[in-house]
Amino acid sequence: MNATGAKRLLAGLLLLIGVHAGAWAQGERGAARVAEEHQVKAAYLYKFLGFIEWPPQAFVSPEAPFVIGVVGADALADELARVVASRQVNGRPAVARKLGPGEPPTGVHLLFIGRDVGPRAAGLLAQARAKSMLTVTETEEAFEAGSAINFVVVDNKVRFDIAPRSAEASSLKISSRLIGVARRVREGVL
Amino acid sequence: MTQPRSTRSLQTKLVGVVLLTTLVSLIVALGAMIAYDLRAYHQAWVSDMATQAQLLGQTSAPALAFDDAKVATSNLALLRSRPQVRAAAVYDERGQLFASYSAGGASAVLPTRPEAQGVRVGPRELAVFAPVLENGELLGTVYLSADYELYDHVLNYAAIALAVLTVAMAVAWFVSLRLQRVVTRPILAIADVAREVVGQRDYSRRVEKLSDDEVGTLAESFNNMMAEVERSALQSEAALREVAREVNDRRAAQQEVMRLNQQLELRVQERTAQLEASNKELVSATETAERANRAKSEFISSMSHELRTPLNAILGFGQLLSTEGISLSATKKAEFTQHILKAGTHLLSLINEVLDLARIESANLMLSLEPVVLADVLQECHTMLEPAASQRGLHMLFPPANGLSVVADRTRLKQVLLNLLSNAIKYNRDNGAVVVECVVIAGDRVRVSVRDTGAGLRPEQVTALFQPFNRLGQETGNVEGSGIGLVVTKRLVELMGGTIGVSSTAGKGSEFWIDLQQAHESAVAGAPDTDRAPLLPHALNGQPVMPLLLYVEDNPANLRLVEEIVAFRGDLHMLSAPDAQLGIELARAHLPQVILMDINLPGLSGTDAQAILRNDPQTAHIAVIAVTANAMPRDRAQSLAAGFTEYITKPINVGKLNAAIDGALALAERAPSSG
Repeated sequence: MNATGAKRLLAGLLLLIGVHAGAWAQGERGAARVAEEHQVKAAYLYKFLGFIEWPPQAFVSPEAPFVIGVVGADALADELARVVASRQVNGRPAVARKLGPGEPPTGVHLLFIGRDVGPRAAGLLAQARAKSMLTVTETEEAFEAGSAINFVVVDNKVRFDIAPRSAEASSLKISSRLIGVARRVREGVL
Repeated sequence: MTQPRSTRSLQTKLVGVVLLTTLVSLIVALGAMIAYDLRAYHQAWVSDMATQAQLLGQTSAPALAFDDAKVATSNLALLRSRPQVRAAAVYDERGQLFASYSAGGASAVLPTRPEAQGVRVGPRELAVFAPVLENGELLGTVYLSADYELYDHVLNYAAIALAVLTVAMAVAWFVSLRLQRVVTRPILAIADVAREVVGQRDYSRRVEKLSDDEVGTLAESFNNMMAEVERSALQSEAALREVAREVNDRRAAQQEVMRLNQQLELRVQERTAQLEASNKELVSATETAERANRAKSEFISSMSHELRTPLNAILGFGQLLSTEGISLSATKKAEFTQHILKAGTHLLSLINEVLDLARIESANLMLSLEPVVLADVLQECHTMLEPAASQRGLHMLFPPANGLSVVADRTRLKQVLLNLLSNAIKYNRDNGAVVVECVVIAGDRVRVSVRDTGAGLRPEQVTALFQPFNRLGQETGNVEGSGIGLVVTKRLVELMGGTIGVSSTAGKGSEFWIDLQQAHESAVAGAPDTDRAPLLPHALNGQPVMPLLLYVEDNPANLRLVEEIVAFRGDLHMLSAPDAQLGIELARAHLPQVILMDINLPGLSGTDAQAILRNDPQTAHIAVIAVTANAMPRDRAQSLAAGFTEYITKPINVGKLNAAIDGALALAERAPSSG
């Protein structure tokens, strides 16, 4: 991680802390409730499921769960597992799966590629592109490499850019409502 | 022409009914429409705003999910196209204000916390709270505040309704004004006719029937009623005329009654006047009667005196003649006898006058009016009074015989003339004159006047002259008189239908006159008066048997007198009986030719005795002559009717008695005697 990224992360953290501290200033556990970036991103990942339409063949059965694979972000994966616990999206449960380095993202419907993966992300994105798999990243490089959604922190808030073409390439449809809240929509084709 | 109040009221009522109906209909219709519209507005607006809030919630759901307030704010800003939305807001799941919107840029007052979902309607504002759900999870709440213009709508509708009402009512008023005439015109026509009928009493008016509806029926009924009224009016008029006629009749009858009442009052007044007159007459008659009574009392005393005077002479000279021992020469005896006769004659005349007056007063005097030759009567009077006049040296001048006759009772006329002439002689001066005149005066009457040359009478004496028993101051005079001669004379003249009057000048003499009805029939000459027939002895007629006379008398003096008279005749035998019973027996025994019968006898009366004799066939033919002191004409008439041959009154006039006896003897001679 470079210096700018560290500064940015630190600034986002501070912002979050500030905002939430203002909102819950009267809460007894105010500090404990301050949402961290990975927590917000974990929640977003779960919420993305409702705005994306997978092809039916992506699931083995109608009751088959959504599988969210997380690479290079263990804290986020843990948080995600907590979020999706006992929750359902469109009648399906959701499952968070931590993927090790080099582990192929098989049977995954949504693949989050953390900042820590680095240059390997492109390979993962290439593997995912052939499958009906939504890819979410958190670096510009990875987004350039062809992810569908890329988290950014703007003004200490977690925002995301969307590249609908990348999703369509994986036979996925992204709801326009989700596109409506994206920070930036990238129309270019890989 | 002013419409009457009733018809105007009818028109007004019709218009009012139409207007009221229209008003009610309009109000109900408009009210229903407005209510429906307001309700639709309310429901549509509430539904609209709720949908808007839900849409907004759906739109804002991603922004909430990914905490993008800017997107939410831009989503809310889309509400600019709905200006009715004043403000909007989005709250996150914890109730914190997430995004807001305010119309017109002005900051609106927003609720600090979201409220329960739903719609809240305020007076001017509609607030909607709607949840934002995504994937079954509550993400937040949407708030919308919009104008709620229900009251503006109400006001608008009210204005519109008012305008519609005004126009509709105006139109309805105009139309009903036109249309009500269709209904009211026939009714008003009936009302006009009815008013004219009442005003002009013209029951022949009829209403034109304009339609066949109820009003037409009314007109027809009205006409029928008018016909009925007309007939009734005619009948009433006839009845009224009848009543008026009856009233007139009654009024006439009442006037008749009033007229009769007036007549009755008049008659009552007349009767009252008559009664008053009668009362006055009665009073005067009473006075007259009282005066007469007084005069009678005076007369009785005077009469006593007058009667005693001749009696004095009779009794005195009688005593001298009957006194024994006094030798009287024949001359003296003859002189005394003459005094007795003169006094007796005077006494008789007095009694006769009194009897006459009594007869006249009791209206019992019988008069037989017949034509009487005045000259004869005057001649008789002249002959009778000449000696008396000569004694006083009076010259009597009688009218020549002129053939005048009057209607009178001969005897009474002579009595009247004798009275007047003897008065003229008695109250004349010596060597005076008495002048008698007979003239015809107006009214076919004859006036006989007797004028003397005496002292005359003063006027007050003239008025009292014919009152009974008034001797005009001569009561104490030396002239003999009863004071009733003129009274009797006056009554006799009046009974003969004549009048008597007097005119006198004091100191020169008086003239008495009587007026009597002139008679044109031939008067019969009066029978020769036998009163003064010379008393001559009847010559003996040489009959072998003298007739027998029976005298029934209880008074010895009378018996003696008749005995002397019969003896003086010399041609009769005489029997006498002191009572009727003996008289009847003597009559049956001796069958006399003549019976003289006294009436007042002891026991059987003379009248009864005569009846017994007449009913006895043996004695029925005997003439019976009544000799009685009952001088009343009624007694005389009754006796003659009972069968007495003649009626001789006492004192006996010798001549009359002899004449009666002669008559009876002649009767007995003609009728053959059974005995």
